[in-house]
Amino acid sequence: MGGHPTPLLLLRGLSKSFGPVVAVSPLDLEVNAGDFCAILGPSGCGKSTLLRMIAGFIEPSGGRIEIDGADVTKRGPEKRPTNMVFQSYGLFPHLTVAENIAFGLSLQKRPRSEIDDRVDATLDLVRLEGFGARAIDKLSGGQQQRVALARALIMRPKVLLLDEPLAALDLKLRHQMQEELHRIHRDIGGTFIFVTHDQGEAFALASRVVVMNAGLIEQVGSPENVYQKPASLFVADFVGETTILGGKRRNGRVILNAGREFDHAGADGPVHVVIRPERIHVDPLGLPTLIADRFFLGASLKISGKLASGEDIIVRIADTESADKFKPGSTVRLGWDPMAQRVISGTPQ
Amino acid sequence: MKRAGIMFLAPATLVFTAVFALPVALLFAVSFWSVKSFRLQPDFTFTAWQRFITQYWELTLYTLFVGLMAGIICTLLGFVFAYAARFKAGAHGDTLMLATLITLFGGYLVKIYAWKSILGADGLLNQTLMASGLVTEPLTFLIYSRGAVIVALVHFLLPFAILPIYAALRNVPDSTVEAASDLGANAFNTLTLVIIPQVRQGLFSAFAICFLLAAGDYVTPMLLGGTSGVMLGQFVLLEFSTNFNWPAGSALSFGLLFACMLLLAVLGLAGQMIARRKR
Repeated sequence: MGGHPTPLLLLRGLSKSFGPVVAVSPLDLEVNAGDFCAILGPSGCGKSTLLRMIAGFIEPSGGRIEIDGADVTKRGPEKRPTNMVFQSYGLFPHLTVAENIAFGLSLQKRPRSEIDDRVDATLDLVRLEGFGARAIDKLSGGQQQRVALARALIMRPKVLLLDEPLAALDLKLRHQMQEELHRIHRDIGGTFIFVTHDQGEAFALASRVVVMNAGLIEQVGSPENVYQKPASLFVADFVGETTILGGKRRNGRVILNAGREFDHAGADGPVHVVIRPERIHVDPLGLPTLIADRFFLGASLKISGKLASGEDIIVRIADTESADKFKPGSTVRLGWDPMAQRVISGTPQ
Repeated sequence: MKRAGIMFLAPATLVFTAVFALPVALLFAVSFWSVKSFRLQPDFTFTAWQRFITQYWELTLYTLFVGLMAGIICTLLGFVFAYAARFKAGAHGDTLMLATLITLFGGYLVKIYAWKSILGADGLLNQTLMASGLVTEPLTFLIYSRGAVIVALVHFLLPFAILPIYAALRNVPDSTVEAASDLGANAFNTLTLVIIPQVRQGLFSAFAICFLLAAGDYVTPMLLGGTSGVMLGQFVLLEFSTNFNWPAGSALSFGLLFACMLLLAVLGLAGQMIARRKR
């Protein structure tokens, strides 16, 4: 390995249109070996189309896909070093668990003993020891998910693609599988790319998050980075709960409609300030807020209020004992550390 | 719950028993009766069955052969058509199925007469061949032969093969096809290892329907078979009508029925064994 890590997966100007509908606008993306990368976005943002282009199921309208230095843009899915875990699993109903997992290796005409060994090892990896002879329709949803994962992992893909892998599971199983995926990624050290609309899942699993909206990449970064420093109002709003306050900037000074001023360099014009709910607290010098509602969430307390400007503000405090301070209908002064705020220039689309 | 279930089944069972099971059982009993001076008499004799086995075994085999050919050709062609409708036609798949259904409205005799006018001595095919100078005299083997019977039966029965196969193919999830190619399968591997195993039952029902309808047919061989394309069904008709020999007609029809069921059972078992061996 040289000093410059070349990205394992490289997308250049990749785009897809279905007739007049643009699903993915030309975009660039690099994913390094060992990354656990989440493509996060609302439904219809083009994230699945992007994943299916990487897998080879959709032919791009333009651009290039390189995996490990090789241009694979024109190759079919059967000739790419990628494997996919489908949202609906796509397990072969006429084959047993072991036969499903062995499918790819059997096609490669590997020796029987090697196939058997690798199937057993992969069954262990996904914690399905002893399930090899079972029929697919005798498995629970979570077990089917594991078979789908095993069937892809046994191929030792350079890039493992997962299309909303946990969407079909109930909450508890989903959390279990998230931990499993995390462990498997750690154990085998592969490169995983998965698509999700659930920001919690993206943050829990990924080392890198790619936020997409309307066929475009809005932001790429670590989960912390995306959460704390959203690059756009869309990211701020889509990724977690947030308070967005409008205002304008003149001569390097920002004046919020809610009645706060501070220095912030940049062009004159409308701006928005984004503050995460856990960074807002009671402040004797803060903005008077009419408490609208409060929600007990177990580990924390969520309070929603209205500022004098009519804008909504959301606060989350870990100290659930202090609920009495936020009686609906009462007025509380709220403030935040200027370091916690993020200023985004321009009007939202 | 259970009682309600039985009550729902009762009307259909009653109708089925009254208009199907009882008459069939009665007809089967008739095969052991005898006929004296055109009068049916309750009896217990194997005369009719003896005649079936000694005189008609060859014709039975030949009838099964025609059914088998029609069934196999229909299943193959039907699969190709249904496959194209399911995987290649996109949103037009259902339109193709509607077109298939509409051909069933065309009527059965019309199709046979159409083939008569195509295959006949002065038919379309012979005229074309003569006009092109390929032959100087009309080919007489085109019509009134086994081949003509099979061609017309395939034409008539093809929709009965397409529909069940298409229904089965519709139940094949796209994701299994995509998963196969994702795991390195080419189009042939995907077809033989993923798609066909999932529609085995649909293929078998398509074959069974076409085979049974073809083997039991008597109108097509009567109009297109001539002397070399005779089928057992024609003799069933002959015994029941002209000869007024109900025991003979009954033994012939039940003999053919049992032979067909035996053949289907053997084929079904063989298919299952092949499928199991492949694992």
